[in-house]
Amino acid sequence: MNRARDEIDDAALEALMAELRDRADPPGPDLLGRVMADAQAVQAGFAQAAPDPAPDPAAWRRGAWIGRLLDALGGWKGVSTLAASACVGLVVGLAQPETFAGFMPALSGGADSLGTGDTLALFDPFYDEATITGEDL
Amino acid sequence: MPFDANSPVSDDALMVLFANGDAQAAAVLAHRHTGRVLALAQRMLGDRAEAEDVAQGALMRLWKIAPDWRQGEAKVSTWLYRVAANLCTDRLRRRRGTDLEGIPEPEDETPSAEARMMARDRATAVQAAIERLPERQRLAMSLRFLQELSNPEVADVMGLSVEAVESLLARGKRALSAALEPRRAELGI
Repeated sequence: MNRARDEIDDAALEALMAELRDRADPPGPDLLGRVMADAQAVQAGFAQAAPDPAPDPAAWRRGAWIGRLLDALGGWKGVSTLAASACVGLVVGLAQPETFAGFMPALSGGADSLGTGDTLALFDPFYDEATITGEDL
Repeated sequence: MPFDANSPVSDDALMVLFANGDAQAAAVLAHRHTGRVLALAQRMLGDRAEAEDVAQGALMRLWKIAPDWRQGEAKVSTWLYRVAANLCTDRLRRRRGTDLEGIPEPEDETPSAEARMMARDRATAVQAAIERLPERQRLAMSLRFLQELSNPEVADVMGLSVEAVESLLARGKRALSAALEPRRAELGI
């Protein structure tokens, strides 16, 4: 048969490639030895860079206790709210009674309202006329 | 940890173990993948010594990336093939000083190539024909037929669409066929 120049069909090409694949030379012990030496060197670097995995037992215990407390208070959100409330309470407790005597009428618009001209007093819990004027009340 | 490339432990798990200092994990990974990377590099470069350098370089990069390896995102084999292909490309560029787009289609066989094919068996003739393919066809053909990756996996390694890979494979097959045709009867194809 007069075979015209024809492409080798896919099946024949794949068979040729499979034959070549089966003849691939495996890596020798020298190459594998170098690859493993590289692996060991890199792993040694990991060990040097890692932080001390052994925790301080006391710190661990403190951490666990604090963690349980935080959970009981509703997490950091609850703790921050509690702290803010505590600060307000401290301020109220330390301020002079007169501070709030003027503050409340101003809010209700009563006769003793400080008016808009003295708005700073509304926000300064330690505002005290005697302190400002130097008079001994 | 069994010192065996056929260990049932997945590559992802081995990477985690390696990053945590398990030396046996390194041995399994090395035995499992070094041969594949070496075979690809050898097809691409046609030089055993250079192929071994590429294989060692690719595995070194794998060791270094182990702490950052994210399980389930990529296969270790695909990643290694990609790295090896890039290393081979770098070496081929240094050899020729041309970019990928400038590589011409293979010319008719030179007398020395023909003389070589005369003296070698069929597998050697195919290897020679593969080495004469343009670089990207060579890589696609090697990954698809020698490393037995699927077309989508080849596309993933090469950073191409599946259609582009299929086009490279079609051209590679035509080029191989044209290269082997003159010796078809003699090689028993």
